[in-house]
Amino acid sequence: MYALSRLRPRALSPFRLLVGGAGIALALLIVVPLVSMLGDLFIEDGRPTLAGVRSLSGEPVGEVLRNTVILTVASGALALVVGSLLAWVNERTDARIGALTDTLPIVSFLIPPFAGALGWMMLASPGAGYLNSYLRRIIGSDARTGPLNIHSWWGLTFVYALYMVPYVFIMVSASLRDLDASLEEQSRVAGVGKLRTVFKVTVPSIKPAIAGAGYLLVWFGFSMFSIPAVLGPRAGIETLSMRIVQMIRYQYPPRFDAAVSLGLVTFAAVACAWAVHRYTIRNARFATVGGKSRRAARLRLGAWRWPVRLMMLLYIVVAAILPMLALLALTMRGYWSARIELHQWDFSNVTAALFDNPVTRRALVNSLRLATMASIIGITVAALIAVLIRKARGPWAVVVDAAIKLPASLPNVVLALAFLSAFAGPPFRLHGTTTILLLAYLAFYLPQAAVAADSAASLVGDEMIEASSVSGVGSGRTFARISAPLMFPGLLAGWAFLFARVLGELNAASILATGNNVVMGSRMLDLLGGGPQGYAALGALALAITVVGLVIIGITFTLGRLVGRGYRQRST
Amino acid sequence: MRVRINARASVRGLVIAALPGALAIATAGGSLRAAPGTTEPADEPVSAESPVGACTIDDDLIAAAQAEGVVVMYNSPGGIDGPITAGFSAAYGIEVQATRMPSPDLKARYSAEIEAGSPTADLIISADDGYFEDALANGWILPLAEELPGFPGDYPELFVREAHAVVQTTPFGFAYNTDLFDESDVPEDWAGFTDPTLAGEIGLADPNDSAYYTAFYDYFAGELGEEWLTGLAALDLQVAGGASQTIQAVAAGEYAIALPSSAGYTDEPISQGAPLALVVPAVTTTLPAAVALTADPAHPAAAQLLACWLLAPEGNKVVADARGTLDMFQPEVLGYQVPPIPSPERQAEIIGILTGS
Repeated sequence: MYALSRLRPRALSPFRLLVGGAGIALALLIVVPLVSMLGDLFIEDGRPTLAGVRSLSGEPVGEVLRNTVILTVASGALALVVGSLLAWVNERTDARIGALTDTLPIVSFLIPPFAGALGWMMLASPGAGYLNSYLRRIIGSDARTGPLNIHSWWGLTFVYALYMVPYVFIMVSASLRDLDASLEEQSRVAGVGKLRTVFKVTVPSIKPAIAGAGYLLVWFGFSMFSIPAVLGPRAGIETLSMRIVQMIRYQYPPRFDAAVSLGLVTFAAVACAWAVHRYTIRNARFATVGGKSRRAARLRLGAWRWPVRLMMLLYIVVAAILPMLALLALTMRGYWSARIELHQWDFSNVTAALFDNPVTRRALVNSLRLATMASIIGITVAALIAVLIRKARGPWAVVVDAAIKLPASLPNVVLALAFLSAFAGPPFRLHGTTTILLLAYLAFYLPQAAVAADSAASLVGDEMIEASSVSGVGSGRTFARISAPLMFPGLLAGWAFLFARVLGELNAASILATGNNVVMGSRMLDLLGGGPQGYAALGALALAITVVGLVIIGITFTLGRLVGRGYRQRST
Repeated sequence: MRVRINARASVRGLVIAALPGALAIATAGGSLRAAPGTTEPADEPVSAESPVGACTIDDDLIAAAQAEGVVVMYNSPGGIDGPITAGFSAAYGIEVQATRMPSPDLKARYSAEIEAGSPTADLIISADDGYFEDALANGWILPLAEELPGFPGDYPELFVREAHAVVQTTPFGFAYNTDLFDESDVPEDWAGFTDPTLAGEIGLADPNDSAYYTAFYDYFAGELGEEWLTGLAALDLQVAGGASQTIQAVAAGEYAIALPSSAGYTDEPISQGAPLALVVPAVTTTLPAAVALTADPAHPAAAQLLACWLLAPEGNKVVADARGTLDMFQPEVLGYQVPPIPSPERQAEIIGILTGS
């Protein structure tokens, strides 16, 4: 690596100042609302107070906390097992089918959890669920309900786990890929069986990845709102996030202090998980990538190869294909019916649900506009920060970097409350505007943009930047002529993911969206409570968000590969 | 408390003092009969000759409203936004942006938006009298006499309040899935809802959603005895969500019966071919929905025009015809019982009995 530190520090150019200012502004965007929220809760008339926290008395805090913990632990355990198994099968056996099984488990990451939950409601509602109807017919049962019931602890745990698996898969896959395979080979050479090698050598070696995944799953479980909002009420299960949204959106007058107090409970739980994660990393013994690491020889599964492959494919069927087909059946029929009658399908039901209602049209336009703006601004600023600030020295760069990544450790509902506290009322008065939503989206998804930008920036060799600097080219031109083109494929992919996430975002919308700044997320919540065409309209919106997101990601992925190939061809 | 209505006397103070609630009416084959217990008809029925409505609609108001071009409405009763949007747009060429939401959501959102200084809705239609009084006290809505020219005109006094006026009242019934039940399987009246064969078949609209649900249960517990209420609760009732969600669940076959329900929720799925039928028993209660105008709305003229249209025979009839509701200009509507909304304690008790919570 070139010794940047040996160079004389350059004078700050206007471009660097601009980027630095943008970084500081974004850091403040995240820190100020949090401080404002805590101030509103704990300070009244200039004096500390616990009145806000005491407003929780009478609330079923214990019950919602218990429900959230049970769901998070149960679904997290299931996701850890399934995700780790899928990752191990893909990285360590010959069941892998190239890029297909590399990416399939991540496809569910792209399905909005709201869409997945609604789809599974259509599939496994005890009376009218499509799967239940067919299962009863197959087994010849006269029962009116069952055998499946998605509105239960089991049902919620199952759907939670489906959308937790990608987090585990990504973390464990990366760890297995980087792991020194010689440890496992030595174990097998010593006569230890394959299964024992897995449990005695492989699993302990990837403990940091499992701990990291565990922390993410706790964050997911405590932050998740859309899945319990769809499936929880009929199961009689209420989570922390549901109660927080209930206090802000569905109670008169809104109970801001109580909601923020519950938000702090959520934050405390996630902080505990983070502390456990850090302790695990510091104190556990695990394998690191050695200087002579090499890829593991893949385990040959023999006759089990295709059954294992089918198991991997089964995950994506269950997580993505089945719920999307259920939503398609719902929206094409125009209303929820237990029977799938293709001759009754009418595409005009879909277009009517999406375009006939003026409020839904406005939500579509607002969401597309906000997704475009937030993703472009977010990925651009993240790219600039990745290239210019992270390589800078000084404490301010560390602070900016940490602040930008802070939202990743906070439940989104807590962040949304913070934005409501800081920007809705005076002096900003952004309540009910698309600006407050844009600012919230930037804050929520900056960590994701930063990860994509960091990954793209890692492809830009320091020597090229050095050469440009030595030649007297300013940092702005260096970024525009060297860094940005090389980072383009990675940034494009990052932009597409951001766009898809913002388009179907529900957490910020549930707290910050009103009739004035209606977006897809808030419109879906309205329709969940009962609106024209009911579940069919809801299904149409959920399906539209999913399809648009997948198409955008597919196009940009293809474009990115073509652009990358073009660069490689020009450089050879 | 049962109150006999005298159309001549001012009922405002009486209605407000009695916490106005559901109107108990009797229907038979579409015509109206006085509810049991009411022995005297109204002294002076409203003249049915060319009623004008609650306010004066002149060309200046129409022109100002058309210049604004749009009016934003929040409503809680189901099924009325479609006819209002279509009818008002056809009459004046003004777009109605309607958002329907359950009553608790409407109250929370409307209040939060106004208190934040960014009201969205120019007018609201809600079935919650108590909320209108709060809203008036907070200055969120204004007395209609200040906003609507000529108010209250010849609008039936029974339906007139200081800051809101009833535009629609829907009789409660129940809906059933015609694939699962024949007409002979369902009860003919509310007394039949203790039949053990109905156990596990009933999807209950969340009684927390509206005080008029508890008023309905309370009224019939009074008429049929408390054992009717406990007998109903013993049928393994399943809270299916709001009224709209309950109807959709019944249409899909999750449950056989949706209780209670109304034409506003059943008409649209039935028109799409859903296997549903609505039964309105001979004696039932109704859900009155009233309109109120936001103070300082974004589209004041359009809001005034829409309110006047709703409170005139033309608009009232459009809503009534499309959703099987009662036309406020029919003289028969004056022979009503007015049971009050139960106290909060009684509401909680009823909800606890029904939901087992």
